[in-house]
Amino acid sequence: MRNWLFIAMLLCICLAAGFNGIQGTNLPSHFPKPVYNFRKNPPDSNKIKLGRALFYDPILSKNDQISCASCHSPYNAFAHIDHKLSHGLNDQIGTRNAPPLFNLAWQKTFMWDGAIRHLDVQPLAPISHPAEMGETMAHLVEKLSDSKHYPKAFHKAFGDSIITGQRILRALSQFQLTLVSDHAKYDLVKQGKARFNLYEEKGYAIFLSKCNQCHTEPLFTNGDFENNGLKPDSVLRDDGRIKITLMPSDSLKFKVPSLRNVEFTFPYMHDGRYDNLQMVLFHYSNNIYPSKTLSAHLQKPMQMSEADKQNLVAFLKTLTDESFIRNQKNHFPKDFFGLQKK
Amino acid sequence: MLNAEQKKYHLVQLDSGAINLPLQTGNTQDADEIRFCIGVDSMQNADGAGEGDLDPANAMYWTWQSGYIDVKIEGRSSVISSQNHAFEFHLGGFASGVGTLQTCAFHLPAASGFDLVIDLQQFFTGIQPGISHITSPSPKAVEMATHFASCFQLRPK
Repeated sequence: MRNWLFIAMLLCICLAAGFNGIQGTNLPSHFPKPVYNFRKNPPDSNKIKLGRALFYDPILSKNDQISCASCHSPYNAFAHIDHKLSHGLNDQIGTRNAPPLFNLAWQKTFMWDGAIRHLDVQPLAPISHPAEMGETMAHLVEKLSDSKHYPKAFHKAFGDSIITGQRILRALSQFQLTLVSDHAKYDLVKQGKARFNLYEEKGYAIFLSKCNQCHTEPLFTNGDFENNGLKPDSVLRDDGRIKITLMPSDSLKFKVPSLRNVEFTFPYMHDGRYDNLQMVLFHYSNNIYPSKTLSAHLQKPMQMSEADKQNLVAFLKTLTDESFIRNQKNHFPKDFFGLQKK
Repeated sequence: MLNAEQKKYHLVQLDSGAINLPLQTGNTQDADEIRFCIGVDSMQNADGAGEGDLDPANAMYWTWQSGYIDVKIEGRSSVISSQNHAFEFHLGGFASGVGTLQTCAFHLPAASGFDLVIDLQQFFTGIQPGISHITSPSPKAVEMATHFASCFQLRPK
């Protein structure tokens, strides 16, 4: 056997300059300040167009069969309806439920365990995961460079036709950042343009007293990690956040998901174990699995009558944003791929 | 006076022995010290995808979590008992407690030139015997990154 050795390293020979950026455009007035640094990647219509094409193009996967939209469907607020766990190359099944995509500029971390800390680098995970898209960035750069239409699209977006990993990732962010869901009935009520009905009103009161600590309005998540009392799945054996922080106090914790568009994002939980909202509410009222890291907010059983639960569901449905789900600007870009036909 | 380079990062690949690394630091004639970091600082790590040598397409970025891989040392050795006798050390991490960024500083000799050398014998004899894989941020990775940096030597030509 021949011994061999390969070393690669990144050397930095001086210090970085500081950078603080803010501001994007058209941000909802009742939302907090976004986390995403728009100054580094300012919104641009050609970059958004390119990002949208990439998002829907299966060229991103090893076998040219799986796109981002395969698991993030616009019809379900960019979640994957009916799939408990994500599906990938060659009928492989992943280990977690594909989350919906919207309001990403306000998200501090990505993935159920917060493994990813910047939107731009998030696509690296699904693109390169062997059970998802199984592709390398280097090969993707090659495939796009050899394609008929992408060099032109990159030229339009970036001023020259050079395709790099960074440009692919920034374009994907540009499109995903346009996925803002802020036109639910809840938003209209907050802006004084609509009123809750009696059931929704009662449900909102229950929500504020029992759910809002973690699913904090107006984003309906506080962005933190909690153990919400799910009995660990004996097959998946997923311990969540601890894998990233290596801290025992993070065992069994997962990111608090936003409840916006929750009507469309079933099945629920990181492993998709609950098919409907009734099952989720039963979990919180009757089914909490005790463990050392259980959320402080779930130590006492959550008391809810059946009427309470019905009202709460009525409120949760006011978080449905039909105009977001129907917005054709978010859907498959027929014109781009129409031109792509060879 | 400090002469810092305009270009911040160099991806250095040592699969075929020595390389020349051209530095753009301006006047170096009076320099009496060289300093460099091995790895990527936390600000750059938290700032998304870089370009050029920092482009994630260079495969020096973790895919399953955020952050650069500062150093990759891969190979095969008959003394390693893993599958195919392969070893794979991907050293990186920027969170507190698992940061692998290393800084080296050397006084420059009066002589006209120098080589930066990595003493691989020192590296391989100094690591835990039998260890074949480190592929995520951890205290083990920090330990190895620190040890790797200590294997750099400056030799006058």
